[in-house]
Amino acid sequence: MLEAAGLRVGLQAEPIDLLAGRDWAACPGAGAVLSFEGTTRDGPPGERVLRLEYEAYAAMAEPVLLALATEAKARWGLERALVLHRTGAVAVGEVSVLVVVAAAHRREAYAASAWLMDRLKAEAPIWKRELTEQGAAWRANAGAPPEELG
Amino acid sequence: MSENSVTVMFFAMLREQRGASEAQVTLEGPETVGALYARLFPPGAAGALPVAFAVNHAYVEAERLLVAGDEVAFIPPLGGG
Repeated sequence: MLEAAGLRVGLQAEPIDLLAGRDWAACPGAGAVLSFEGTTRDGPPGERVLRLEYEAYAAMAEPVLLALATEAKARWGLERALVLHRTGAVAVGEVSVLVVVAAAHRREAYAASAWLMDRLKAEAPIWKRELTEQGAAWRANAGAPPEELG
Repeated sequence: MSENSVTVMFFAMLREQRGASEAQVTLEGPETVGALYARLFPPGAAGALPVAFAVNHAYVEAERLLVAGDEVAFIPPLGGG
């Protein structure tokens, strides 16, 4: 886990404590505290997902996440930003990523949260292997979205 | 470890292909990170992937020249989120 003023990012093998993340982000200057949970999704019948396995280049992924959180904080004037991502096996329905942002107003919070997830998917060196009834395969994210989002 | 070597990190499908998560590789003269990738994963070979490059934990262009002691990573298509 890496921390800076008003920022906390990290990779973790254990389940993410959602309320602890929210409580860390809440602060007197925030009129909006927005939590986004990315959850592992099942497939259609015949392609049921047994579990996902996340692999990360931790020595690079945590600094990348901190740089993204730093940029989001500056760009939207956030009070707090937290990004936590699971590694290892994650069962279907569990939270694989948590983004919590605290801002004075909700519009900044929504924009910053969406931007953080877009950049995380495009830049954080994290990979996902999907184990289904059919076998295992590495799953890549769709191409990076336009930078003007938000 | 050779005096002119770099540490190369392998992830996801590249790690599976190599059967190792890292290796010490001796540079062949002035070598860019893109050239090193082509040497270790020859284009056209089964499993050769479009990748991004990182040196010492930061993204770099394929033309980045490597120096002894660098930590190099080939970054296959990402799946975080």
